[in-house]
Amino acid sequence: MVNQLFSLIAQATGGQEKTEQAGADKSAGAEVPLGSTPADSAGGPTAPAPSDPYEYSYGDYWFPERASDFAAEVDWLFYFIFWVCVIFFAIIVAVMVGFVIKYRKRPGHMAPLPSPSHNTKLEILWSVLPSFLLVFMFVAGASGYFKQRIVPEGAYETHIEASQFNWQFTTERGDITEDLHMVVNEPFKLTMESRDVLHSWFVPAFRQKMDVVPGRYSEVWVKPTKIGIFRLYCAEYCGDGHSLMKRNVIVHESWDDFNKATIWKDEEHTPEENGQRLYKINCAGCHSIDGSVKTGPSFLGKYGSDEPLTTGAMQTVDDNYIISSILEPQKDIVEGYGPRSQMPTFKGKLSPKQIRYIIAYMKTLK
Amino acid sequence: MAHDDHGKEHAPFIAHHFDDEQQQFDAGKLGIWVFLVTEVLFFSGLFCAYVLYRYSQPEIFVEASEFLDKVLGGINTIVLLFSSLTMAVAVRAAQLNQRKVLIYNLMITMVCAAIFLGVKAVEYSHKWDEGILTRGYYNFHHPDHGEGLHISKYLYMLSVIPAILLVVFTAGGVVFKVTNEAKKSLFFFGLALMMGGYFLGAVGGKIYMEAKTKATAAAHEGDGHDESHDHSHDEKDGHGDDKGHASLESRWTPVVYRQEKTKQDGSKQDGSKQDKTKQDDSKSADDNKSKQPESAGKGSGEKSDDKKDESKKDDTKKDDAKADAGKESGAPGDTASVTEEERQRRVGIFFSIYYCMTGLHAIHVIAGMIALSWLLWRAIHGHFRPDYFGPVDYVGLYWHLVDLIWIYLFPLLYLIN
Amino acid sequence: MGIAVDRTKTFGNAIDGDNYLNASSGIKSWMFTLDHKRIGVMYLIGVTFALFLAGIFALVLRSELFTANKMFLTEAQYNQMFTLHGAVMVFAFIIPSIPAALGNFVLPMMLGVKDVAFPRLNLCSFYLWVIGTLFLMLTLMMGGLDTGWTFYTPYSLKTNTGVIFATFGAFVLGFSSIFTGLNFLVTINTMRPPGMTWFKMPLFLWSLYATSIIQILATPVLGITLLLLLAERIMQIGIFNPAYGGDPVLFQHFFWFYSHPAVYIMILPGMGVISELISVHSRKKIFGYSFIAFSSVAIALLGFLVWGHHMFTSGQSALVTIIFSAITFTVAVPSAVKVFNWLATMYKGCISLTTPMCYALSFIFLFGIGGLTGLFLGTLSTDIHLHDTYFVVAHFHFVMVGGTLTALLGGLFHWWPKMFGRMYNEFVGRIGCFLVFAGFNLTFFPQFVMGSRGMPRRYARYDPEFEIFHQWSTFGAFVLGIGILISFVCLAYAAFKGPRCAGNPWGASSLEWQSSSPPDFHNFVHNVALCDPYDFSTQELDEELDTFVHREFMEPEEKPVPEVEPQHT
Repeated sequence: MVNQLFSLIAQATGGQEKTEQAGADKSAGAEVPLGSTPADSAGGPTAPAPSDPYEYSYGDYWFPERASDFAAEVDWLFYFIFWVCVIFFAIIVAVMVGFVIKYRKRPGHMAPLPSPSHNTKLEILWSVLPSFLLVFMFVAGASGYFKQRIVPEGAYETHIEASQFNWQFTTERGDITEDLHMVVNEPFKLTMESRDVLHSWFVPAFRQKMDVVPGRYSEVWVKPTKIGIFRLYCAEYCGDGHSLMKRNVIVHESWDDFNKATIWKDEEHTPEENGQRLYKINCAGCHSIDGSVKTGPSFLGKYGSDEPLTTGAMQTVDDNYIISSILEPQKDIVEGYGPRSQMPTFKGKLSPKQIRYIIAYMKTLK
Repeated sequence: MAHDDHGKEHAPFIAHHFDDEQQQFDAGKLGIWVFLVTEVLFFSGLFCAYVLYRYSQPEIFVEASEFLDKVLGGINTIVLLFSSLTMAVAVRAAQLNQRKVLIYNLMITMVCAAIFLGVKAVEYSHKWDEGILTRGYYNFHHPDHGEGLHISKYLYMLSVIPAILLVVFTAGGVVFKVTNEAKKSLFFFGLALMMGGYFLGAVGGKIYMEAKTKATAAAHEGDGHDESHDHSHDEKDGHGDDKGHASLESRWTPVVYRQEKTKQDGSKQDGSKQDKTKQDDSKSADDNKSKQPESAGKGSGEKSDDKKDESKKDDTKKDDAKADAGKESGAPGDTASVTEEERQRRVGIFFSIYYCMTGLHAIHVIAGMIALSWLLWRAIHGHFRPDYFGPVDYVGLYWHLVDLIWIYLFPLLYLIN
Repeated sequence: MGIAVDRTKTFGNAIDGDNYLNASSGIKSWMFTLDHKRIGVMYLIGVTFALFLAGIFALVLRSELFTANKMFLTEAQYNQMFTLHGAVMVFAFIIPSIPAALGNFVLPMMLGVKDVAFPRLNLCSFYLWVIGTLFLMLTLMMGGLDTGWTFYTPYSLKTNTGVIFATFGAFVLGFSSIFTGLNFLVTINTMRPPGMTWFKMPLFLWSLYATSIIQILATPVLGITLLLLLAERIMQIGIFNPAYGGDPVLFQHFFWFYSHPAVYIMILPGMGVISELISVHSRKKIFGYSFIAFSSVAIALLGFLVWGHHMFTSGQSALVTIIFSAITFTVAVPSAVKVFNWLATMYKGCISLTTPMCYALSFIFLFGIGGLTGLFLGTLSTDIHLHDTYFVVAHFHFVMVGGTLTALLGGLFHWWPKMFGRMYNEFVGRIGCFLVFAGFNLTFFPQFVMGSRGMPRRYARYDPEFEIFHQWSTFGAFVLGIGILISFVCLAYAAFKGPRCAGNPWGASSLEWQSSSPPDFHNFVHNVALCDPYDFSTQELDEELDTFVHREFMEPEEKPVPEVEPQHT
C-alpha cells in the first residue's frame, strides 16, 4: 500500500500526462484489479481483445484520469479553487502561528500591547475582496454546470435501468448489456430510471453524476475522450448492496467495436453462456458465484442442494423452485433472507427461455 | 421548589428569577408568540405540500373536495369562531377580575372545542365507512346500509374515550359535590360539560348526515338510481339527466365498486371484509408500483426490437435511429398510461393531505382543551387577578391560532370550486 | 453583612461553602431540578454519553473499512453502523452539545440573572432529549436503522428496519431543541439586566441568539417532515412515495430546509465559544465586535436560503440550482469575516497557550479547512463530481467535528473551573488537544483525496486503490478517539480531584466570572458590576484569593458596594 502512495505522489509531482502510463505499470504490480482487461470484466467472447488502451491509469494526485470532454474544465476549476484556498489557508495559519509566537505570554510580555479594537475600513476590505474571487468561482462553476447538463443534439441514447444493486444498460438497438458501452469522442445521452429507490449514476473519470429518481426519468450526457475501462458507481445510498452496485464503463475505439461488444444473439451461444450473460445482467448485484453471501445467497453449488426455508421446511433447489423464486420471490424464502425478501419479481422481465438459460448456468456452478 | 424561598419581596405569583410582574408577563408573552411562530411553521410544511400537489394536479383537488361536506365544515367554522369570541371575553374578564364571567366563558370555549371534535368525528367516520382513506389505502365504495339508522362502527370507536371521560368527570363532579368541595365539583362538572359538547356535536352531525342521506336517496329514487350517498353529485347536477349522471358515475366510482355493483351482492360491512379490501388495495398498489416502470421499459424494448433488424446494417452512427423512447413512453405515472382505477386512487392524495392537516389540527384542538381545562382549574381557584392574567392571555393566543389555522383549512379543503 | 462584600464567599472557591452542587442532595434533587446549571450539567453528561456511543459506532465502521473487503461486518451491519453513527451524532450530540450543555450553564450567568426565562420548559427540554435519545437507542433493538441519518425516501419507506422508532426519536429531539431555542431567545430578549444593551452582550450570547432563531424557525419544518414520513410509513399518504405518485425529491427539500440551517445550529455556538476563548486567553478586546455579532445573524438568516445545494445532482431545475449556488457563496463571506477578526484579536495580545486556547487555535485551523473546502462544493461543476463522495464526508466532518467538537472541548476546559471549582491538569489537557488535532487531520484529510478521486460515500466495500487512504483514516480515527477519551478523562478527574481554584482564574470579565466557583445556587450572592465583557483591564488580581476580581470590588473599605440584596437578579 505504501508503494501505491509513493506512485501517486510521484505522479502528482512529476508531470501528469507523461508519467501516467508509468504509474499504472508500477501500481499494476500491487494487485490492482482495475488494470484488468475487458475480456476479464466484460466476460463475453465478443468483448474487445485485451490491448494497451484499456489499461487503468491513475490520473494525478487529486483526480482519476480525465476521460470526458468537460473533465479538464472541472479539474482546472478545482485546481483554481484549490490554490486560492491553499494561499488563503497558508496566510491564515502563518499569521496565527506568527502571532502565537510573537505575542505569547512570557516574562517581559505579560500584558497586551495597545491596539485598536476595530477598524471598519480594514474589515470592509477583507469582507469585500474575497467576494470577487467567490463571484468568479460561481460564474465558472455555473458555466461548467451548463455544459454538464445540456445534452447536445444527436447524442446516442442509452437507456439505463437502476434497481437495487443492479445496473442494466439498453442500447438504442435494444441490446441489453452488463456494462455501459460507449464510443470515444461520441456524445452519449443516458436516460435513466429507477425501479425502486434513489440511485445515482457516477463515473469519476467523466466527472459526471446524476441521481436516478424513481417515478421520473433523469438524463445525463457524456462525451468520452479516452478509450478504456472506467468505474461506474452508485453514489446515492440505496440499501444493503449499495457498495456492490458498481459496473464498468467501456469506451471503444469505434462503432464496430461497440457493436461487437453489445450485440448478443442467443442462438450463437450455448445455453450456459447465455445463462452467464443473463446472470451478470440481472442477478450479479445480489448473488455471487464464489460462495460469498451478498444480499441474496450465492449461486455456487446451489443447484440441487437442500436449503431450509423460513417456514422451517427443507426445500430442494430444483428447476421448479428456481422458477418460482424468480417469478415470486416472496414465496418460500430461504432461512436467513426473510421475513420479507428484498428480491423484486422478474415476472415479465425474464422469459421462460431465459430462465432456463439461467438454470443451465447455475448447474455449471459446482 | 427550593427556589421559592428566595424572592421575599416578590408577589407569590412571580417566579423567583424574574424581577417583577412586568418582566414575567413580557417573557411569557414573547415566549408564546415565538411558540406560535413554530406552530405556524409546523403547519407550513403541510400547506407547502398542499400547494405543490394542488398546483400539479388541480383537477383532483377540485373533484375530491366535493366529497367534503360544506355544511358540516361551515358549522365547525362557526363553532370555532364563536369559541374565539368567548376566549377573548375570558381574557378580558381575567383582566377585569370578573371571576364568574371568566369561568363561564372558559367553559363555553371548551364546549365549543368539543363540539368541533364531535362533528369532525362524524365526518371522519363517514369517510372511513366509504373507504375514503389516504392515498395508499384509498378504496372508495358506496356502503350498503340498507334501511334504518346506521351508525358507523368508527364513530363508536372514536366515541369510546369521550364517553369514558364523560362518565369519569360526571362521577367526579358528583363525588365532590357530596363531599362539599365546591371548587373541585365545579371543575369536574365543567369538564363533563365539555365532554357533553362532544356528543352534542356528534349527534347533531349524525342527524344532519342521516337527513342528507335520506334526501339524496329520495332524489335518486326519483331518478331510478340506487346510489345511497353522494350528496355532492346532487349539489352539482341535482336531478340532472341520466347521461350526465352516468358520466359522473364512471368518473367517480372505482372499478372495484362497479364490479361489486354488477354482482349485486353489495358489500357487507363487517370488519374482516373491510380489512381484506384494504390489503388487496395496498397489494395492487404495490403491483402498480412495479408495473409502471416495467411497462415503460418494455415499451422501449419492443420499440427497439422492431428496429433491430434494420439498424443492424447501419451499425455506425445512426442519427435517424435516435429513438426518443423516453419521450414517447412518457415518465412513469403519466396520465396516458394509467388505468381508470389508478386514476381513481389518485384522488387519495387529496385525502392524504386532508387527513394530515385536519388530523394535526384536531390534535391541536385537543391540546387546547387540555390547556383550557388547566385554566379552568386555576380560574376556579381564583389564581388570576388584574396584575396576573398571563396564562389566560397565552392560552387565548394559542386558541386564536388554532382557530386561524382552521379558517385557512376550511376554504382550502372544503371550498375549492 | 454591611456594605462590603464577603469576597471569599462571592469570588473565592465555594466547594466547601454554598454552591449549586451541594444546595440540595439526592437523586431527586437532580432529576426534578429547575436550576439551569444542574440541567446544563445533566445535559453535558447526556451528550457525552451520546458522543461516546456514536464514537464507538464510528470506530467500528472505520475498522471495517481498514480493508477493501469484508473484515467483520456484513454490508447490512455496516449500513446500520454509519446510520446510527450519523443519527446519534447529529440529533443527540452535536445539535444539543454547545447550546444545551454549555449554553444552559453559561447563558443566564453571562446575563447576570438567576435562571432562564422558563425553567420548567428547560427541564422538559432535557427530558425530551432523554426520551428522543432512548428512542434512537431503541431502534438498535428494533432491527436497527439503515436509512442513513437523512431518512431519504423511498428507501426509508421500503426498508425493514426501525424507521418509525428512529423518526419518532428525531421528532422528539427536534422539540427538545425548539424548547431550548425558545427559552434562550426569550431570556436574552427580556431578561438582560438594565445597562446591558445588545452591543454590550458577550459574543457567545449573540451566537446563541442566532442559533435560537434557527432552532425556532427551522426545526418545526423537520418536525412536520418527520411526521409526514411517519404518516407515509403507517398510513401510506403517498406524498413522498413515488409508487403513489409522490415526489421523493420533495422530501429532500423539506429535509434540507431544516437540516441545512441545522448545520449552523451546530457551528454558530462553536463560533461564539471561540470568540470568548480567543479574547480571554489573548487578554485582548475582541476585534470588530459588531462585525462578528452581525456575521452570526447573517449566517443564521442566509443559512435558510441555501438548502438546495444538497440537491445539485438530484435533478432539480437548473435555474433553482444556480440560484442556490449563488446564495451558498454569500454564506462564505460572514464565515471568513469571523476568522479574520479572530486573528486580528490575537494581534499584539498576550497569548497564553492554555488548553482552551489550544483548542481555539485548532478550531481556526480545522474550521478554515472545512470552510474553504465548502467552496469546492458550492461551485456547481466541481460539486457534480464531488457530491456524495468522501470529499463531502471530510468537508462536513471538518466543520462539525473540527468545528463544533473542538469548540465544545475548548469551552469545557474554559468553563470547567467555573462549573466545578477545580482546575484541570494543563499538561494532560494539552496532550489531549494535540491528539484530537492530529488524529482528526489524519482521519479526515485522506478522505478529501479519496473523495475527489471518486470514492463514493456509504460504501462498505471499496476498490483496492483506495485502501491506503482508508488505512490512514482508520489509524487517525483511533488517535482521535484516544485524544477525546484523554480530554474527557482529564476533565472528569479535574471535576473530582483537581486543585481548587477561585472564581475567576482567567481574568475574564464577562459576568459569569463574577461569582464563586462553583457558583451559588442563585448564581450571584451580590450585585454584579456591569462592565464591557472584553475589557480585561477592569479585572485586577487579588493576591489573597489568587483570582481576578472586578476593580469595583477590590477595596471594599473605600468604595461603597451595593447591598447584598439582589436587585435585578
